[in-house]
Amino acid sequence: MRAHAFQSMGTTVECLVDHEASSFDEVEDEFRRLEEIFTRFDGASELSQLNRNGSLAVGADLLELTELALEARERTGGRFDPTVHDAVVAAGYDRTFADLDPDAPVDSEHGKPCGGRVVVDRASSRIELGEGVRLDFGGIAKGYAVDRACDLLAEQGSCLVNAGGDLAVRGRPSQGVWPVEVETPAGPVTLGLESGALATSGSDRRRWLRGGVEKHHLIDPASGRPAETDLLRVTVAAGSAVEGEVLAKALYFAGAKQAVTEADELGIPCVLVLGDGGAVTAGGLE
Amino acid sequence: MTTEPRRARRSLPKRTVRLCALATALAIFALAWLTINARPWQAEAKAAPDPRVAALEGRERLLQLKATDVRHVVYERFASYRERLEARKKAIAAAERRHRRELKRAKRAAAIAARTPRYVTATVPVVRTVALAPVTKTKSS
Repeated sequence: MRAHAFQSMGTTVECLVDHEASSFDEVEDEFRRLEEIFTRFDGASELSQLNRNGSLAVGADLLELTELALEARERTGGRFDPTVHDAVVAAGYDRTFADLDPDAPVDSEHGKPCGGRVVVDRASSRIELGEGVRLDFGGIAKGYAVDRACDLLAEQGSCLVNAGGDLAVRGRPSQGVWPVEVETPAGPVTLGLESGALATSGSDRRRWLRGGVEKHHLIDPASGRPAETDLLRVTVAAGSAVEGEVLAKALYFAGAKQAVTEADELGIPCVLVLGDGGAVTAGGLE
Repeated sequence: MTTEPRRARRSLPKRTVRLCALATALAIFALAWLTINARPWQAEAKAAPDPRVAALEGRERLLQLKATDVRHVVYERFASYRERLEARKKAIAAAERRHRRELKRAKRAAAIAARTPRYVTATVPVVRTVALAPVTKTKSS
């Protein structure tokens, strides 16, 4: 098995292939190309231009990702929402994570409203945002890049692409499954992924201090503030990395009890790590 | 005078004949005794064993050896067969369990796909917990 790692989208991207012929240049180029489109930390990115202008004729990738995100907002009843940009910034995540200033003053103790109007016109490739609405794709953009990178690598054989926890596989390795470790307070659990993707969302990483108060990056669209839930982390198996990212956030914001019910009812295999140190599997995960 | 010696002459041969007969009888008895005591039939048997019996005995020993070898081979093959049978049974049971799981997932996916609005897409991942060394890990992104 060959491995290759590089930095992109504020995280380490790891590629594993079960064959000898792979070149990883194409994958790196694809990640960097998508990062240049989706980042909100670069004023020249397509997303930043859209957020600044409120309306923009965009390329195919931003159009597709926005459609996916809006569809996810619809499906999850608003638990997943790409219009959290201002709420994330208000919470203090206004620059790359490495550059955050812990002593910066608090912008607002109140949450920023989410759920504003976003219109995608596929015929003219134009996106229009309602007044005061700005988009932040966060994890779903990483998931999108992972799915695209996997498609590229899969042309040469079975592969796994992992971007800081959002990962997808194509094809099976020689041992039949891709064993992936999931941390739980009781010790690591290994999930064998034959097809699809895994995504993890949690408040245990990307935490920072703002005005002496600890914040994290998972904004609950319902309150417009960092979510307060009894879950610490949710790992979800899904058909794609984009889908996994959406489901992980939807279950995280639901809280432990509701998340178990929904995962079992909808058949979402998942590992839920509770804030009090427990862990539970649901959704038919054996 | 002349008749008495004649009588003597006549009686003497008669006695002699008896003596001779007795001696002959004793001699025959002794000869028979010696002959029987020598057990000539046993000596004859020892001297020349029946080659057919010897061949049969040899063949019997050979067959016994071959039977032991065959029993050994059969036992080993049966043990190997039993091992393979057990492994096959386990593989079948695992395949059946996997099939049941996949069937369950497919039913669940069909049920999910039938809902409107859908919470998850119809594409269902194939995942389970395993006891293998991980190749990577997932963590909060």
